[in-house]
Amino acid sequence: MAKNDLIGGSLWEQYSNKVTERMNDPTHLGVITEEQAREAGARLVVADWGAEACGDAVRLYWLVDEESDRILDAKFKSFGCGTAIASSDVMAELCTGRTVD
Amino acid sequence: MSSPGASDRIYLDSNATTIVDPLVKEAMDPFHCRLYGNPNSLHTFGTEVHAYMRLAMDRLYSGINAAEEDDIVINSCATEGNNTVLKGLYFQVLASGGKKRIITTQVEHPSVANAARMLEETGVEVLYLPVDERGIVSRDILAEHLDPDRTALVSVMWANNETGLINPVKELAELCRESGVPFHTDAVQAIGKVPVDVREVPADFLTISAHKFHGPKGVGGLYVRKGSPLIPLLHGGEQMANRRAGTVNVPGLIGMGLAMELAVENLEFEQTTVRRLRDRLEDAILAIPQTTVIGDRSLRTPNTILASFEGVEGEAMIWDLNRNGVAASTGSACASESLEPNPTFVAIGIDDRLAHTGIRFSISRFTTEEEIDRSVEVIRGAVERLRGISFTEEASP
Repeated sequence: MAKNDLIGGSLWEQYSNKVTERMNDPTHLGVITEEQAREAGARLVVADWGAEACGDAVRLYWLVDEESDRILDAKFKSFGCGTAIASSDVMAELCTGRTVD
Repeated sequence: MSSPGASDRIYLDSNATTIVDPLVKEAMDPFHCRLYGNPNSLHTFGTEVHAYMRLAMDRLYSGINAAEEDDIVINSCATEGNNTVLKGLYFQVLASGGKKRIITTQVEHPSVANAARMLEETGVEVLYLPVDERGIVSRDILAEHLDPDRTALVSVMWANNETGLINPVKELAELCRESGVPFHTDAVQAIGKVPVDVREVPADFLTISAHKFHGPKGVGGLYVRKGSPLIPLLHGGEQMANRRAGTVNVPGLIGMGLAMELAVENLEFEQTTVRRLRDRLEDAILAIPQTTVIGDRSLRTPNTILASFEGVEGEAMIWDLNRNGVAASTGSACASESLEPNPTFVAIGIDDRLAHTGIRFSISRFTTEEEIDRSVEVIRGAVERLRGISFTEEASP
């Protein structure tokens, strides 16, 4: 134990500005529909992780190019605390441009 | 009553702590730089404080209708009071090898629950009673499990801090009295919200905490009925007639005394006006689709709402509310370590999916109608934004 441990910070005091920005204004929030996939001539992949009963659930939508298997666009929906929202947003962003592999 | 701390921010977390009543602050003031003597000292600096302490004690006794021959031991907080009762048992068991079982509940405050867990580690058997479908600990459930031959103590809180649900402590205490088993109740959330009368409710031990009824932090009281054995947690000087060592927090005691008197004086206001404001907030919350409130409001303290907004995680909601100047709290997992669902949720039959959606709003006699109405706007906005982010709303836009 040490001085810094005793008062105990709040979880929130540790959130960086980047995390806070993403929590308050996620850039990849949304859905991709089958229709949108068809219009783009691509394939829609939807994946779910987690569960509301556990406090963390995310659904990722990928627009995948049929030929190259590259992810053209990614969107997310998320049930969870602020950091869950922020990390889901980053995850969606990082997915874009990569192959499904 | 307008908020003395008036600002743009709105405080709806009174079950966590309360604003100190300005009258209480004023009453405490002289005891820092003028009447600052140690009450144990022989000289006048010490002795002149006694009359004020006696007045504060009178107010505390009168506030819970304690008899002169009972004790209200002044300590640092309810956690200390709860630990004193439960751990005192441990020392007793060690010393005399007597009854090795205690009965408590699944919905106690951590200062009871964790002390009970510590007792388990030392070999005491602890039974944690569940709540029923109303969310309260019934007389029947206690009667079913109470075996006076083996049970050294029953501890059931008067009102729950998360839900506001009130247990039938009078019946529970009477059952224990009939069976010859000591009964302890953590009354922290009851003082100032409902009448607390130890002649009505034959509890042997009762815990109070000043900062929950507009008194200062750092002072509490443990009521001990005459004849009940009390093994001190703190040994040392002869303060509190050897029941609890340590120089008494004099300013705290003075403050707590007045806070108790004011709390009891305002009971009717709490039961009428505060209840009305709480109901106003609750009705507005219930008007938001796919929203539940835990427990029948007639079974709750008049100031508390534990709401569940489907698709909205607790910590995220608290964050959004805070950003918009509204303070509330949650028992959601992000904010705590456990992934286990709240036992009250399970007992009442709340869906697993809602386990992390609980938001607690708790007002006080200092909350205004205007604050309630402004909060409703913020709550609506936050729910909307967060439901826009969580996919559960796709099914029902």
